[in-house]
Amino acid sequence: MKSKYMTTGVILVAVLAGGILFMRSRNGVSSLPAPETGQVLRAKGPADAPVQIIEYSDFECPACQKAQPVLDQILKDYPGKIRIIYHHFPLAGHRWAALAHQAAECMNEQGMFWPYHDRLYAEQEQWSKLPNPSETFLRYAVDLGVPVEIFADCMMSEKVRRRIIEEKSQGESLKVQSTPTFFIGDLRAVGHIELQAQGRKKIESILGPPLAAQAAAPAAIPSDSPAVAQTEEPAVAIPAS
Amino acid sequence: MGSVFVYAGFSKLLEPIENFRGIIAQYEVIPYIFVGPIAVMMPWIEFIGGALLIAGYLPRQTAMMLGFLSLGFLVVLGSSHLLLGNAPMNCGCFGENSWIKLSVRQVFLLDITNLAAGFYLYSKKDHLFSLDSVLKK
Repeated sequence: MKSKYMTTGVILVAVLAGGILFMRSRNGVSSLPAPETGQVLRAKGPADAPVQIIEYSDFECPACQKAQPVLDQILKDYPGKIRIIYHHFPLAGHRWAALAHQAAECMNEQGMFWPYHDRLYAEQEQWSKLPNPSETFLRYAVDLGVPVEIFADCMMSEKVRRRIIEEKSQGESLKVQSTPTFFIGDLRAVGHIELQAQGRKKIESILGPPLAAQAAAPAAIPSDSPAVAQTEEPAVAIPAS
Repeated sequence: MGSVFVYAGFSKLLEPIENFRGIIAQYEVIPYIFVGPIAVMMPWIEFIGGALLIAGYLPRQTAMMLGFLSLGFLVVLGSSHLLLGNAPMNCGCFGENSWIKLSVRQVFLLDITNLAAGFYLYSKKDHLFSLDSVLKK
């Protein structure tokens, strides 16, 4: 009887595992985006940077907010060598995400995406709890010098809304399921902890250790070398696209 | 109970492993060293365990195993919620496209139900209409 059990168990597990492996091979479980060149909608860092980080993010997602300091640190550690490309991925479960992305895209049209992006994440906890953050979004825009009428018109724009939806669909076709999701070369890192752990490891494998770490390593640089005097380079200029 | 685990495992197995890995990593109570192995093994255990339970193959043992798995989920979820003040449930943790969208409270309830069901099935000596009852003949 024991062998009957064993045989049945092996057959069952083999059929189940085989079925899954077959479906995975047919559907293709892992998709990676092609490197983005040329005209990119929202990019930070030089176009010819050796490392490109493609980010799918949601302005109302707390984990996306936590990823921002990690990205900032990466930019500081590798000045001029990283390009971050932002993609909209407003999650359906977040009440004000669609509105926040529309506002950010409107600011993108005014060349103000990144400062607006920074403010949305910095003040996420406040606006996400409001009964309606429309006025807050308008205030952020006005603070950056965008005229009320232009911003208000754009907030009604179907074209802008469609652009965001298309971008989210593009993410879904890459099997982006949760935010933030980052693509760095052939690496997919989901969440700020994976960005910090796996993402940094990937970047280090391409660019080597960060400049600050190289300078801190006493064996690597002799103390009388002029390179010791080298301090951290200023952060890369951020062109608004 | 079996179908919940089959669906949970199936939906993860057809996605890139990094998606689930990233979600586990957000539970900061799990040491990072275990994140990779859990991400690889958990969906298979859920899917195969759930399917074996539905088929009624070694139902007591399978139910016990899935019950303990539910207990593990409760411990991780509870400690994340109590110690860190949050559980990563609000960023598409069940997959943005999944038709099941549960709040932290609902996940707690589901895990408690599964835990109770697991121990109930384990306590039962006979399982009618199960593969086990056929194999015993």
